[in-house]
Amino acid sequence: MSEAARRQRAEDSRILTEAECRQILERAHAMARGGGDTGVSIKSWWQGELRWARNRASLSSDRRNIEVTVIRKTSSGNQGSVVINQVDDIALEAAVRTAERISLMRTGPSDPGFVPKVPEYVRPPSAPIWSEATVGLDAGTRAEVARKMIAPAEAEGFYSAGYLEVRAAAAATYTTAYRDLLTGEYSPVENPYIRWTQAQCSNTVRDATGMGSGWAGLSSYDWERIGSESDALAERAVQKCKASRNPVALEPGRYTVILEPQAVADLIESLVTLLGASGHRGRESAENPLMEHPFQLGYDNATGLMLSKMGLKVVDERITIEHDPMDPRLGIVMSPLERPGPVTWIENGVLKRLGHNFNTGIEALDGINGLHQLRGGTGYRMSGGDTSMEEMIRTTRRGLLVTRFSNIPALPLDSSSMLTTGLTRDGLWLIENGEITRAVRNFRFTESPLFMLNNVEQIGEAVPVFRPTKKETGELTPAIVPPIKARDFSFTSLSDAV
Amino acid sequence: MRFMQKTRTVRALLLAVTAAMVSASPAAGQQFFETSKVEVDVSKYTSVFDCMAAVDRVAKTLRAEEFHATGVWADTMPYDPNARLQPWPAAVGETARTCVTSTAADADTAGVDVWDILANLYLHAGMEDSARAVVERRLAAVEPDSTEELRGLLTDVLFLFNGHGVGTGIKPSRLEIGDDIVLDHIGRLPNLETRLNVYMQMVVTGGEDVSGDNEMAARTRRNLARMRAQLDSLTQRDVDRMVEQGGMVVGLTTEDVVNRLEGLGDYFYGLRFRLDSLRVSTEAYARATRNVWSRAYAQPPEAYDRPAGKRAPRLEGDVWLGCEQDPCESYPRPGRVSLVVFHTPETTRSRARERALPGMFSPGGGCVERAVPLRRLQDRFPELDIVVVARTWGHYSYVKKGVTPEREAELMYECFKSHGLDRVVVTMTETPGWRLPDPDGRWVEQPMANWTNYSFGGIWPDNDRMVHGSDLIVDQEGDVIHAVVAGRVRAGWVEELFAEIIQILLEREKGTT
Repeated sequence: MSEAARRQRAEDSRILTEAECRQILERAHAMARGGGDTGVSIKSWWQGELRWARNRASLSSDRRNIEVTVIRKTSSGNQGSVVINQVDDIALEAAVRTAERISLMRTGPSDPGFVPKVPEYVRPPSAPIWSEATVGLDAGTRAEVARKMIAPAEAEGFYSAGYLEVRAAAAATYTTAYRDLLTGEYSPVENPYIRWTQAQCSNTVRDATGMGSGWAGLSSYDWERIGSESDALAERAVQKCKASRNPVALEPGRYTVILEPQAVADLIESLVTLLGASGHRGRESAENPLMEHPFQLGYDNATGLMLSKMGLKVVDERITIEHDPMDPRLGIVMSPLERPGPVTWIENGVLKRLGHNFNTGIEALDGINGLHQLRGGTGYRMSGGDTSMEEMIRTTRRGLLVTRFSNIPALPLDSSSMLTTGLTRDGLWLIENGEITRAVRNFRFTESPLFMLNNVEQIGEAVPVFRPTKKETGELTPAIVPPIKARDFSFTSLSDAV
Repeated sequence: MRFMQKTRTVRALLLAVTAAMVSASPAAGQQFFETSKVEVDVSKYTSVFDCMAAVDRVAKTLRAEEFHATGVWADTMPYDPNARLQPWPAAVGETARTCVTSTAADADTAGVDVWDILANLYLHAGMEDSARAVVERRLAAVEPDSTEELRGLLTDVLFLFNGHGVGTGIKPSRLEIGDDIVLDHIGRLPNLETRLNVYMQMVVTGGEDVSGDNEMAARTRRNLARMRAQLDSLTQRDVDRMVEQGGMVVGLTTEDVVNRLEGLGDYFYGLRFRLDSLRVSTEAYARATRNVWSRAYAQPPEAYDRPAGKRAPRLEGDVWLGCEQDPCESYPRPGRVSLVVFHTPETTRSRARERALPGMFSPGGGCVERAVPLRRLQDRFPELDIVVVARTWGHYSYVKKGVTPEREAELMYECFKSHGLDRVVVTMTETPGWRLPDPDGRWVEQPMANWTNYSFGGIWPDNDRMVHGSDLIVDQEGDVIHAVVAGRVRAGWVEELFAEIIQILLEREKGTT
């Protein structure tokens, strides 16, 4: 077998194909006893990674796994399910038997009675989310990329530490029941088979004293987009490291800041999460009088309802935050049940939508959002402007340039204002009279993303940032975010972080 | 013993016949999967936890096997007050016995920290003396000044012997042993109000309507008498301490407390005595109920917050389905006993989702749990009118497009009919209201005549329960007899109570009461 063929074969088996997933259903159903229906829900993923530190590779791995949920609904009318990660005949049959036993152990009405037919649904199209470049990046190539990223740092006598990861995942759900309902609007089997890729690469460069630090990173479904930038990522981290050495301590206080896109993304992460419904953070909590939410407006005596700030201006009118599965630069896993199409949460500063889940007065929302869940906090695009970073710096009399933030807690300090805290990292510089004058020791900030977005002075071009999803089969969470210059950003103490 | 074996054989034959009948359903031709063996190899088990797990497994498997043999969902079976007196199949006790003896668990030496599990196993194994010995050892370990610990343990003892111990509980309950143990130790509790608390627990645990002629009803009568005897010795000092500790209204006298506690006993455990007055007239029943309630809650009878005795308003509706005449005459119909069912998708939403088809959501709209007990009542009482009162939600389950009030009513009617409710009448009212402007878009509902009228001036049901609707029985004169919040008709005892009331009303009409 040629090297190319061998490699192709390895790549082919990285995740289960659609045919292989269907075959699992057929095999499981053939093993079934007791009539009824059989279903399988399959998650399959592969991940190749390379981690390096102090200019040397410390971890290289290729991992893959499958998670197969075997569902049996026997003539008892009740459902039993078992999760396995092996699909050989013995394992699959054992799972089928166990699922049947669970099904039979459950006691419930075997006849659901009248069930209306699920309405037809036309699945909206989505942008590409699969990249051959990502799935084809083998260990040797990954090592070569890392070597090239380490080289500039080593040449300067710096230390590079980084992480490169490529991943492919597939999810499939098939059932022998109600085959004609497979395209049902409310059926999770609407996507019988879907696959996607994700790639990420980040690089931190430190000097020998440990006082200078630079960072650069990107994530995308498509390795091409990162690979073509890998030299630039390496160079940027080195330059930032070099420029951040010998920092001086400044007094904490309110400063005009120029937040690089990554810093903006880090800061507004909690805001984006709040726009969604996950964990009852969206409309459920904004309209719940027992909860605190920054988009809660107040109780309306006339209607007896808690009103949200939907329809009201909540941030600078230049800010729009939206999500479009058709956006080719984003690359979002299409999930029609939850995100049926484009959603604009904030439009020209006005809060237009909040995510909600299925149980939030679906009937009350009839005609507005249909019966869908409307979640947020996955992939998003934030509107940009036309001010260059150079222009932002040139027009700043005194301010700080921030590379990124870290250590921002998952929950804000204050739920009503979204006041939160965190640290500047990997490059903070003082700007004086339109020029960067010196590196500055890191600060702890205490600020709200809402305050920042209401103090916007200038906005630059929105670009993809580093926002990978962590879970192997997690959906893609890309973000396109601009740099922002904002006034009166509150730094509350010095930090020893580098 | 021989009689029991014979009964079991007959029962097995009946199950087989029933299974054969069921197999004539659409599921015919399907081959039932042979479930796992009931026998558990307890020789490998080393702890009481293992033993309890084995007992659980055997009990659950047997229960499932019975379900599949009969094809009947246990939760939809008519209420059988004697069900808890039926023992587990022998395999459950045998598993417990074999396991508990092979694990070297000794009632006299085993650690008291697992007393509840061990005692439960002994009870399953039919080793009551050992169970009692373990419980006694645990109670003996309580320090003299640990009043709360002792009180809590005595409550646990009652739960254990009532069949609610850790893991699979025992059947039948052995509350007579539990009561004995509790009465032996209750004197260790230093003050009367703590003892009273335990006596009340004895009444509540396994409590049965005192009018019954079974052993459990007799036990409830005995325990109520015990509680009353304690009340007789209640001093004002005791009352003051109860007020202080229990957050009761300040200024209560001994008589107040006695009245209240006795009234609560009568209110909750003397319902069927009050039904005797229903044989005379609805007014007599309502008056008796109001008076007992008044005593229990120390409120004037006029403040009674249930609709018993009130005139049932005429139902309104934009769409009527299933009524015998066109146009529909007014419901509840004069001269008929009516069961008025306020039904909302909320009532069945969560369960409907759980039991949806594979890979599908079914958010609301299901009716199986409401329909099954209603069908039984319909079949039992051909003279009964069952009226389902509904309001529009703008969708039925996931069907949204083209759902007019007429269509929504049709879909709901279809669901009830699919469960055999052939004579059900559905009245659907279009929910009035307006929509908040975009982007909020919420629907602001306005009061609806049926819901307003049947709140009887705002006393029933309260707002939290409104979303779950309610069920009411109305007599031939149009007066409400009894009302429960929806969903509770699922509870077997409510269905049985409704049946008893309906029976009385029909007999009263025929003059046979």
